[in-house]
Amino acid sequence: MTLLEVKNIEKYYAQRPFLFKRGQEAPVLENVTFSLQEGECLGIVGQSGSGKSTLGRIILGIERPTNGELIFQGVNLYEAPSKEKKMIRRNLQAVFQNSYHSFNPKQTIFEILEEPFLNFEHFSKAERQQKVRELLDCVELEWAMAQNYPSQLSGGQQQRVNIARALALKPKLIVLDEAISSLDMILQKTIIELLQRLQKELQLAYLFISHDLQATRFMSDRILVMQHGQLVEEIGKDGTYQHPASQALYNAILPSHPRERKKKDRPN
Amino acid sequence: MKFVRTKSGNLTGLISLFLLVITGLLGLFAPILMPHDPFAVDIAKKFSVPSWDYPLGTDHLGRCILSRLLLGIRYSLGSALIIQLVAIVLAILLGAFVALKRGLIDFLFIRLCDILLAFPTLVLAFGLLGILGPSLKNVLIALIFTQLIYYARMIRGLFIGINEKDFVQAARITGTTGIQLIRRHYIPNLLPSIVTIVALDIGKVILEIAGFSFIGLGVQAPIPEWGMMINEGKQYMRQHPELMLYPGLAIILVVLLFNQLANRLKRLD
Ligand SMILES: Nc1ncnc2c1ncn2[C@@H]1O[C@H](COP(=O)(O)OP(=O)(O)O)[C@@H](O)[C@H]1O
Ligand SMILES: [Mg+2]
Repeated sequence: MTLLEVKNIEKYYAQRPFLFKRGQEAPVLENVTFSLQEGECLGIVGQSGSGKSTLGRIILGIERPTNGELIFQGVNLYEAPSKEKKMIRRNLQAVFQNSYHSFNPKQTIFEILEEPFLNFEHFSKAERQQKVRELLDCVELEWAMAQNYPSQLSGGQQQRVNIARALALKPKLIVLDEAISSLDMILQKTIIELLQRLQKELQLAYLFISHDLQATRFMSDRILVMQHGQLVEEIGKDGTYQHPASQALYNAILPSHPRERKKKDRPN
Repeated sequence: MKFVRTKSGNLTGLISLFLLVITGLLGLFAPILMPHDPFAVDIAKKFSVPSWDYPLGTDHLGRCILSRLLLGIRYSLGSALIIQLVAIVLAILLGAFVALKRGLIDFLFIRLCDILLAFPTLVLAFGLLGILGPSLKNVLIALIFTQLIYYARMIRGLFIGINEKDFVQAARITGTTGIQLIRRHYIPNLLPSIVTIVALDIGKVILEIAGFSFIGLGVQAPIPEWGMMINEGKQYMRQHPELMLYPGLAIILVVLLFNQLANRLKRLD
C-alpha cells in the first residue's frame, strides 16, 4: 500500500520577504517525485546542500513547497481542511540530527515525552506517566531518567529520547534527517539496530535522509540519490548505480582497511 | 527556586530585593502606618521641625511629610509597577501575535514601531499628555503606550529568535500549536530576559512619572506623588530645602535599588 506520494515538488526561496519579491533564486528542489510504501525504509542520499533537509521539512509540513502535491494516506495535505490535516499529520513524525537542539532546555524528559499526549489525548496524569514509561522502555532507557533535563543526557540517550517522542503518537512514517550522523560509529550501530527493531515491531515506514551512503544502504530497502535539488537515480537492494553523483558518494566511503582500497576503486 | 539559589551568591541583589519588598509593603499598608492624614491642612503648624508627633516635620500647608511620603509610595512605585506590568503583558500578546503571523501584519507593525520609536519616548509621552491633559490616569496611559511600543518590538524579535529553534519545530510536529506553543516553549525560555528588562526600566519609569509631575503635566496636587511633592516644595527651596530633599532622596533610593536588582538579574542569565 502506498503511504506517501510526493508529486512534482518544487521549492524556490524568494530573495526578499514580502513587498520586494522580485528575483527568485535557483530552485532548491526541482520536480521531485517519488512514493513510499507502508513499512518501507526509503533512503535519500546526496551531498550537503543538495536539498534533502528542505524536502524533509516540506514533507513534515514545516515549510510549504512553491509547487507540487503531497499525498499522505490518500489525503492531499494541501487541500485537506486544517482539522483533518492535523489528525493525519500525527502519523508523520521526525527525528533530526542535532538531538540536543530538538529539546526545549526548560523541559524535563517527562515533559518532553508527555507533550504529544497532551496535544491529542485526554489522559490523566497517571495514564501519561504510564505512557512515558512505555516509551522509555521502547528505546531502552530507564524511567528514572524522566526527571532529568536534556543537558544531563549523553548524545546517544538524547537521540533515544528523540526517537521515543517520535513514537509517542504511533505514527506510520518517521522522517529521520541525519538522525545518526552526529553519533560515533558504535552508537550509530546501536541506534540503527534500535530503529530496525522498532520498524519491525510497529510496522513503521522510514524516510532515512543522510549524506552517508554506507549507513543508508545498511538501513534502506531502496535509495534515492539527490543532486542539486533533483532525484537523479534510484538504487535498489542489489545496489547497482550509474550516475556520477552516486559514484561520488560511493567513492567517499573510506574502506575499513587500506588493502581494500584497490578493490573498491574498480568500477562495478 | 533556582532564582533564589543562584542569587544567594550575590548579596547586593538580595538586599535590594529585600529593601524593595519592604518599601512595597510600606506603601501597601500606608493607611495603617501613616501617623496623620496626609491631606489634612493645618496652616498653624506649617514648617514644623521634626518631632515625635511629626517625625519628618510638616510642609508649607502643615501636612505631615512622613505620611505623605508613605502614601506617595503608592503613586510613585505603584504606578510604575502597574505601567510596567500592563505594558509587558500587552507587549507579549502583541509581539507574539505578529511574530507568529508574520507577513503583512508584521511588516506594518515594524514600520509603525520604527516611526514611533524614532521619537524619544519622553517626547512621545509629552505629546500624548498634551493631547489627553494632565492627570494620573493619563500619565499611566501615556507611559503604558510608550513602553508598550518598545517592548512589543523587542518581544517580537525574541519570539522570532525562538521560532527558528529546532525544538519549536519538533513541538509543532508533535501537534503543539498556538497558545500551548507559547506557554510551553516561548515563555519559559524568554521569561528571564523579560523580567530583567522590565525590572531595569522601572527606575526609568519612576523618574518619568516624577518628571511629569514636576513640570505640571502629570499627577496634580494635592496627591503626594514624590515628583509632585518636589514640585510643591520648590517655591520654598531657599528657606526649607527639606521639602524637596525628602521626596528627592526617596526617588533616588528606590531607583538605585531597582537598578541594582536588575543588574544582578542580568548577570543571572
Ligand atoms: N530558509 C532558507 N532560505 C534560503 N535558502 C535556503 C533555506 N534553507 C535551505 N536553503 C538552501 O537550500 C539548499 C539545500 O539545503 P538543505 O535542504 O539543507 O540541503 P541538505 O540537507 O541536503 O544539506 C542549500 O543551498 C541552502 O542554502
Ligand atoms: Mg541537511
